[in-house]
Amino acid sequence: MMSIGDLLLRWAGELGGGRVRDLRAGILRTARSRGIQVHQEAADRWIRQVSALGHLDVDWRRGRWSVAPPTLTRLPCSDGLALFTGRRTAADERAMETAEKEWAVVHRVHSDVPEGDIPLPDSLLVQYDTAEELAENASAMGFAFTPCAALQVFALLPELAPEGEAAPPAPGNAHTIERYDLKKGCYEPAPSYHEEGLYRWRGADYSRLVQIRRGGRWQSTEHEYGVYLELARLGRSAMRWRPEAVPGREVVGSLFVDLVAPLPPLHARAAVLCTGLPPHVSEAARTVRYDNVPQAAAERLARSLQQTLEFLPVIPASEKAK
Amino acid sequence: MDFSAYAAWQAALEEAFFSPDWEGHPVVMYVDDAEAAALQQRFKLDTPLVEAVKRVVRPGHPKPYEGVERYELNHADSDDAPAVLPLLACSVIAATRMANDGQHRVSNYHDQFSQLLTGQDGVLNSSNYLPIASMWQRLAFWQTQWGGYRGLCTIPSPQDLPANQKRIGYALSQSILRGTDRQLLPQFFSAMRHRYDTAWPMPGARLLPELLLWGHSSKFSQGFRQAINNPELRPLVARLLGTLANLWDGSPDFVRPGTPRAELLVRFENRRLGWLARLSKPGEAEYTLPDGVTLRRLGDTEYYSVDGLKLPDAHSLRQGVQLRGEKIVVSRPASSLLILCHNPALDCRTSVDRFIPGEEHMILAAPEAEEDLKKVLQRAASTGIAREADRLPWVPKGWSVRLRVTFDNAVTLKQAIREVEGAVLAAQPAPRHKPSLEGGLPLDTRFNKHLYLVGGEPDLVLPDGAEGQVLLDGQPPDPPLPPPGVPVPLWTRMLPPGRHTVEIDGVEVAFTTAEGFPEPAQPKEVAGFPLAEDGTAGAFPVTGRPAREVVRGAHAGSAGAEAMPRVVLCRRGAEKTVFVSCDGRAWTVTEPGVPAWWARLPGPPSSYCFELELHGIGGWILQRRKGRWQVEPAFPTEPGFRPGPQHRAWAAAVLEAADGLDDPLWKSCVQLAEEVGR
Repeated sequence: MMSIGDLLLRWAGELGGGRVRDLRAGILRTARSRGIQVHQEAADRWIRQVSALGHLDVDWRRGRWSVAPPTLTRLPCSDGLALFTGRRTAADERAMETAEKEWAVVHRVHSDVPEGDIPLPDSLLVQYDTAEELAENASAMGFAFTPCAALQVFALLPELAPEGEAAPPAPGNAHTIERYDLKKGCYEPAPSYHEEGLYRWRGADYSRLVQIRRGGRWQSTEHEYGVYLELARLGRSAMRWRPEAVPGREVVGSLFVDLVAPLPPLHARAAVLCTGLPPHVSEAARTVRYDNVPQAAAERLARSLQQTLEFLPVIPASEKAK
Repeated sequence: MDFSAYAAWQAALEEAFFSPDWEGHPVVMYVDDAEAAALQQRFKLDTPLVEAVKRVVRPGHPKPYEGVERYELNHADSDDAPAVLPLLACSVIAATRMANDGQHRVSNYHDQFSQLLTGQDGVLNSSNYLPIASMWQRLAFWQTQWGGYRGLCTIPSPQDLPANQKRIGYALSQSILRGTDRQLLPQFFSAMRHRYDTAWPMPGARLLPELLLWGHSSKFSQGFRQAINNPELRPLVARLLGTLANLWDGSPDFVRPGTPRAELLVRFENRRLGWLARLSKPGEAEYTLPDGVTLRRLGDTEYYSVDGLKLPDAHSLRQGVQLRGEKIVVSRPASSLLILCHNPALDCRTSVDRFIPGEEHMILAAPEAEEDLKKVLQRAASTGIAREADRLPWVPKGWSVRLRVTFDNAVTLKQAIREVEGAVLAAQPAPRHKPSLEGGLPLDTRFNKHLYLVGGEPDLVLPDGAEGQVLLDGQPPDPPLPPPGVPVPLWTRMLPPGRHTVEIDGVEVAFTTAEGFPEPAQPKEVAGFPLAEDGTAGAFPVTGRPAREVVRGAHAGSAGAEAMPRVVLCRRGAEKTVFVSCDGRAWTVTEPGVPAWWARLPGPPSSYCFELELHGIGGWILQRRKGRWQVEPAFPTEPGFRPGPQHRAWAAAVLEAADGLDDPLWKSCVQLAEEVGR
């Protein structure tokens, strides 16, 4: 029987796109129908994770999503591994089965999720012998091919900036204002909005507005950008990188990002597509770990968010074993 | 059969009792002989109601109402009410005649009904009355589906009916309360509210004895007073009173049908209770109400902000709110309980009038309702967290608060509520009149409302009080279905793709499953990261840009590919690996270890190869195994440099592996290397 994560991805592929609200409702009721005790927020977490994995793209502001084209792409520094991602309808699955018979060695990787979260689709990694044939093989399957989506997306990361001047909260909306608490990682009711900070409130049409306040000026932004703008203002670091302890692979490592500072969607996608696996979340350390991120790419990502990447020492394999 | 007069009556009754004029108002389909005559005159109908129905009923036939059932089925594909209203109206007339002759025996009802439609006793009897009971349930199902737009349903659920009135109880329930009686009830409720400080709404059974003691009770119709005094009818009267008390908005004034109504909701956001108003469909952009209160529509939704009204507190929650504007009446029933659920349209919690099994509730209870609520939660709640309300400034003083309360089993919940009664009675889950399909993963509801993905079959929700054998695809399900109360997940049945049916008590629901559509759906609006002219992309996906100008998923095309290194795979396990470039340089390559992150994979991939990145120029990979050199191309080009002493290391490496490959391009390298040596 198909796992719930794979089933939901197949469903999304069959729908093609639509309203986030409907997608969220379908995810929640399917999870609950299978006896998984989930809260409302679990559906949004699922959508964000699946989006970072390259299956969906979500315009949160307009509440619309669409499924990504089925794509084959190489994983960086992975000694011959590529990734199938994007739409996964029954027809796409059949194309992958055919590929498996003809040329591909597919590794189906199931990732566990914390309690209260909805299982994710399995990651489908493919072993290849020659990179040059991948494009042709993808085309034969009816899939798109991207040479190395992770590194390409790292190269596309834009510089952090707010969107532009915006109107301050209207008096009628003042009671809906919340300010982001960087320590807690959540918005808290704000008795006033005269301090510098990241705020959100309801607009006249009840849509959520996210803005930063800088010296009496208000600037529109998205939540993730707002957090990094705040971190930049305060000069705080939220990113670290640790090289692999494997000889000869010191230029590749794990990127640690503080849980309170989630990566913007494009940055998260770049980092996740380094392995095709969801990042590892540590509630204890309050961090999210992305593996197999090349040092140069991690530095590029940090720079684009006005962060200075901290370097952690290698943990020798012998110590890890302890 | 001549259905022309029947059809005219169907339209008239729908207009009279179920038109949008009834939006937000409780509907009682009270029809007696006088009301039928008045309706005939109002709608200028040639044929009296009873005569129109007589023409389509077949007395003496084993299925006397079969013609009506067929007619209903043939007219089922629209938003109109089920085409059963004239026959049901006659079933109500029979009940009012029974009330008039003072004999409330079940057998008397059937005699009255038989007399009405055939002129004789015993021709139409209880044995063939079941289809009419089912018609009432279908009408209730249809009306409930519209929310409050076609009036609020007062037809009882099967579980609400006494055992000896399981079939005729629907008609009896609608025969109790005529319009003039209903207009008096808000005054009575208001008087009760002033007299007692107990939890509201009070159960109908508690209201009933008080009704007779009320100073204005003599103003009620004789029929209503008789019904109150009649032990056979008293449970139905009590239930109806309870329903109307639950819907009462706290004002002694009766709001006439035809007055647009908006529901006043409580919302919880930003740790604060506030108000919202909801119409059943988007209305005007703004409404002005007395005392400086203004409703403003939120975007294109049916929700309105409420400005100028004091925030919800213990008083307004307990007493109810009614605001009468020129164009609209906004009201919220009085209640000692406040139940909130997540509102997906607004992404915050808003109040609901009933518990919804399976959903997460936040419940606030006034002190007078606390004990009742506690008992219900102990018996029926699956989860929930009680919070110390004293520490939460937004909780009305003295009230309790519970978070994340869920109820898995609707039947257990209803039973618990009925045992406890009190204010929680009003919050019991909505009655289920028909089997229905909920949830599942629908593939395209505009194409086919009941088409689901295989594995994403819907849950089956059985009607309240369902007792008959359930048939799944015509067979008793194996294993049998659990008793009604919990939605039955049909995905566990591993049904093959195709059409499936569920049948219970003569009612069938059908759905179809498929593995998907033959052609993939193209999203109507593509979301993606927009590519900018400066070679970057937007950090957040947007919609509305052509697909070629955005990054979708991992589909980035050639965007960002300029800076990417080229990659070659080298076999592991060589004694020595050297890369010689086409511009005359050579490096010894150290074989790296296996990627550390592979530890996350269930079975490690083959570690046959390692990856070598080439930044810039191409060349050749030279590997020595068991003393023999092998040469692999790595994007080589014709060597284009003038050999000199600085190329000695390169030449040495090339010459050592000179026989490693029989390739013209490699041979030209070897030739150049030989020139370096000279």
